[in-house]
Amino acid sequence: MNTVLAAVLLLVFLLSLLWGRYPQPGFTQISVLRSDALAQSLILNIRLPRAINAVMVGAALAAAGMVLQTVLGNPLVEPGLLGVSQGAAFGAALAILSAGGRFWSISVSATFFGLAGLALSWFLARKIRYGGSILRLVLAGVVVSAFFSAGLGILKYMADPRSELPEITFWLMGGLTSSDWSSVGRTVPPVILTLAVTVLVRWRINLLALDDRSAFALGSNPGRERLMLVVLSVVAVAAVTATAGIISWVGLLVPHAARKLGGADTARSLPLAIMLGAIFVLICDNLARGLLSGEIPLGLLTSLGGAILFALLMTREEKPLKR
Amino acid sequence: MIESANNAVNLNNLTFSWPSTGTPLFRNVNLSFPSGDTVCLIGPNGSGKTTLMELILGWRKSDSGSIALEGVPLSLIPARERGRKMALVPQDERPAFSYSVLDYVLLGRAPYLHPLSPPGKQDRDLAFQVLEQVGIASLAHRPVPRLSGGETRMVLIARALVQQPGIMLLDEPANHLDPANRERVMEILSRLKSSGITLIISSHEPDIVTRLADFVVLLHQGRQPLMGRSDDMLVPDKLSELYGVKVSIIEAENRRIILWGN
Repeated sequence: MNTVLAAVLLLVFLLSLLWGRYPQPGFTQISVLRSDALAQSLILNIRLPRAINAVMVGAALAAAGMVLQTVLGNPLVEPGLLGVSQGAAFGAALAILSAGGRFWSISVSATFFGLAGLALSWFLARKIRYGGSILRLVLAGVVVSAFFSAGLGILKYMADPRSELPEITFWLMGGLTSSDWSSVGRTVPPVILTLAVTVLVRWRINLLALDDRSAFALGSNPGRERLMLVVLSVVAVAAVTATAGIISWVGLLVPHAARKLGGADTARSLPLAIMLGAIFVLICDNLARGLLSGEIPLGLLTSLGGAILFALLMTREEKPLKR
Repeated sequence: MIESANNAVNLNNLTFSWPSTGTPLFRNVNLSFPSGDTVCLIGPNGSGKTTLMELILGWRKSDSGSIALEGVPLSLIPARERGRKMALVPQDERPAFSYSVLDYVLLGRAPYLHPLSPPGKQDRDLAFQVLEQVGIASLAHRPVPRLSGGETRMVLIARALVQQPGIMLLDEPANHLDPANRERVMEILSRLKSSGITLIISSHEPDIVTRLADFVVLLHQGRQPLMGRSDDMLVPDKLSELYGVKVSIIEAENRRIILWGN
């Protein structure tokens, strides 16, 4: 299964380089490529970095979704539920308003507020006197997300409607339009680094799906290991959010699909989720840039595709859990 | 009390209060569980059976006093090594994801595996062997969340067995099972007992598990736990004091049958 998906990913990746609206909508002919210098430059400097970023976005979001769902023992969790996405969105909007929207300020601010969102959720969860640890964390995430959404609303209200507001809005809908080699350079290292660590410990992630006492009895330190995995996931999510804005549904949909293919064991399903996520976002991004003459926000397409696929997946599944 | 390596578990002057309320549960408790013997913790609901197990497991920290496994203080045993010495069979566990029985049982190999390596062929062979041993090899590829209560109990026992522990803590292993499944569990436990594993079993139903017990600990809320040979402990006046109901015991077919109430 791994080799099949890897082959599909490679194929989709190569086709993505040929797919676009130059010289005419559709796939660029190989014969055109040989002679047309503009086409060559287009592929090398625009389509290739953009495809790499799409792969990073899909892989990071899918892996983070898989990890967060597993270690929080809740199949409905995704980065957006723990205050991470809303925090990052708030941070990015703040950077657009206050620092003029340079990439570095956006990514640093998004990462910082993404982590702050998670930390706030974590801290609040300890104070909530209701429900088990997982429910408390999710409730706290809802509260923190709402808090940052409100803050974001205020920032949008204050933004200049001609210059800053469109930038914030486009960023919130997500997209890879501004991908170039320098954004690849800023996205790839944190994503590859966090993914590598997560993939290396992929079997051990399973222990955290058990209740903490059982994980402890198996020689794990559930508190510390969970915190490590959650922080790794947040760093990856913040990195791709700074590049692509808010891309929703990938972190929820893809892990479910991967579990369908490879079973619950994260040793098998995590690599599948990473490749499926990359393929899904790559295809969505190809549609985003090539379907119409104007750019469709990527986040809209992943939401649309994700919601439909997820509904199909959930209604066809015999759900064994009642939580 | 002498720290003896002959004892699987030693509790020395153990004091524990509930962290949230400060209500004391155990005060200066001293108990020793000999290696290879089966000890049953008996007491009514809320008497601290599960809490005592969690203290022995190291999951809960005592206020004062210490616990030693085979003469070594629990606090000095690294987590992985602890996972090889001692296993827990919880009463119930429902994973949120559809793990197959085999994958779930293989999690018990965690204390033996390098953090970066998934289980290998040897681990898999051992898991199958254990599944055979507890009679659920045919379920190996079924998803755990869809198993019956009895099957789930077997899976949890199997997971503890692949830890190859010297000490096994079982929380209410026969609880909520129909008679056939209860007998299956009892048969597995009696085989484990004869293989030399130290079993520490909690139960609020003394009738069942005490058939295996060498020693019985009576846990009486607010009083010192009382430990003794099971013949000396499973007597009408002690049990009726513990549970607050009239108890009589009859013997039939070499078994003690406890009659509760009037």
